[in-house]
Amino acid sequence: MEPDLPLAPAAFFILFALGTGDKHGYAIMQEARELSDNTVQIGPATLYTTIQRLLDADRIREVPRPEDGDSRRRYYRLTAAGKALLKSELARMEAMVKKSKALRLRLGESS
Amino acid sequence: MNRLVRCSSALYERVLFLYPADLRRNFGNEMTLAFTDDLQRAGVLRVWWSVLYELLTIALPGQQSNRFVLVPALCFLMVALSQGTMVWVGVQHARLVSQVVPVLLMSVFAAVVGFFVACFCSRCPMTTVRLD
Repeated sequence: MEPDLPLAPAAFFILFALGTGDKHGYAIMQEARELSDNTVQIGPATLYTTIQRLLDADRIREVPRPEDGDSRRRYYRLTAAGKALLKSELARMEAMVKKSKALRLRLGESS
Repeated sequence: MNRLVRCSSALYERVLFLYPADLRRNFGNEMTLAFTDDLQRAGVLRVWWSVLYELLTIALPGQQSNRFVLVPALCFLMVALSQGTMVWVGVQHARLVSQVVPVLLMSVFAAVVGFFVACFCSRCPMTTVRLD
């Protein structure tokens, strides 16, 4: 298991958002909100503090701006280590969902 | 961009000085951009609420060694908490709005005075209000 697991919500949503392609900070914020059905609100400071941590840990890297990109913003991409971390976290979550389903079945049977 | 958004963005640029210097230097412009975009999309109250939360969870802990920020902020928080409690009690027991207004004004006044006194004390070399 990766040493950084379980991921903090902000780190998870940043990696998840970047899993679908390169993005700038605000696009990551928006995607996190959509992915969580508006239940997770990542503010600017949380976002960029976490981005800095992920950059330092080589989980994401800065990439050149796309041609149609916003010149005022920087864009980020998952690294191989970032993809591996995201996969591990998703696998951990899937295992938890399986366990919780089994628990729910048992609880349902006992009631 | 409406006036409220413009004022909020300008205020947020000032608030940025409370955040750790590294974060401000590396991402200050983008934080302001993200804040402004979010104001237009998510609404002023919701965004400021998350900024308030971040001030307590990121800015304050990041300024532990900076008494020029930490001392006034802690004093302001303590005054705001104590005065806020008074206001809450006043609102609960007041029967007329006119009874609440003086308490509210006094509380706001006390909080503002407390903030400026703390600011002054933290910059004064002779002060005993030091955390370092």
